[in-house]
Amino acid sequence: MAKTKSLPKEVQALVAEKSSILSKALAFAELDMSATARPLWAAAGFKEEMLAPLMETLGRDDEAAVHRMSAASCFMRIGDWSRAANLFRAALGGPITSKSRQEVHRLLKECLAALAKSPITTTSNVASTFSASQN
Amino acid sequence: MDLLRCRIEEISDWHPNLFLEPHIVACASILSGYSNSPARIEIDWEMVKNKPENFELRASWCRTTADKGRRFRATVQPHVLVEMASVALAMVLVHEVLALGPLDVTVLGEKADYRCLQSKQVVEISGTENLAEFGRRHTEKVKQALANPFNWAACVVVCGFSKSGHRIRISQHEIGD
Repeated sequence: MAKTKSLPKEVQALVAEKSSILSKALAFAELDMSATARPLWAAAGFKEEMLAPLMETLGRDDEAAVHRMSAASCFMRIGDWSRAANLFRAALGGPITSKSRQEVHRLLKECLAALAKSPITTTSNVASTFSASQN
Repeated sequence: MDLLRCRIEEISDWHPNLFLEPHIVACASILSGYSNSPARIEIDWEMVKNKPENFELRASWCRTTADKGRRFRATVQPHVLVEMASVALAMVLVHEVLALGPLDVTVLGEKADYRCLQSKQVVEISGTENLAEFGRRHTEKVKQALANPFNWAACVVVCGFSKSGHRIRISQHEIGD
């Protein structure tokens, strides 16, 4: 199995922190605790968004695209359709597989359709609820 | 016969970046529905390099976890319990046998992807209580895993829970397999 180059310590820490938050969001969502999961989705989305350009600075463009898709999927979960749409659009500019490209196009279409129907939501309020609960 | 004994609660220490507490409880909930602790689980290895021969997992859980598991069973849907229990058992094998190192988790749409941070490999996990569906589920998951957004190799773990005995099928695949 091909090895990956190890990430700088700061990036490793951010990946670990993001995985911890995202795995909590996934678990609470699976357990039908959507209100508990909501601020976690937002916080995980912001971390994924931060990770994407960091991966690009390391020449890991494919991983950058995956972090953007993941960020977008987190924001979709809380109905921040415009942020999700921007991130999906940005991910399409990266080197992603044809199957992922198809899936991203489908999700982007879904976001735009939802955006056309719903009022604009801001994620920053949701994420600050999470930050406040961590302090 | 190689025997791996583990306390299911240990997976939290092995994977400190992942929130696995509900998975531990779900695992105790499912396994205790069939037998007392420890539960014997047969492992089928497919295309795994350096695979151990005649390997059996004995997973145990403590009384507190079993109590939480009983409450979980009353409130959580059975298919969710099975999937979470499967993640817990997969986390034992990827740490103790395959030594894949730390895992990252990302999402695409509704689907979560676990991937290794030390090798170019994703980990796909699923489970069922219907052994008749076990093989088909594994095939389906291999296909899904090889379509991963990284275009990386895949490790697929499918758990089958049943009165006649629990099984885990674990396989590793390169892109193009």
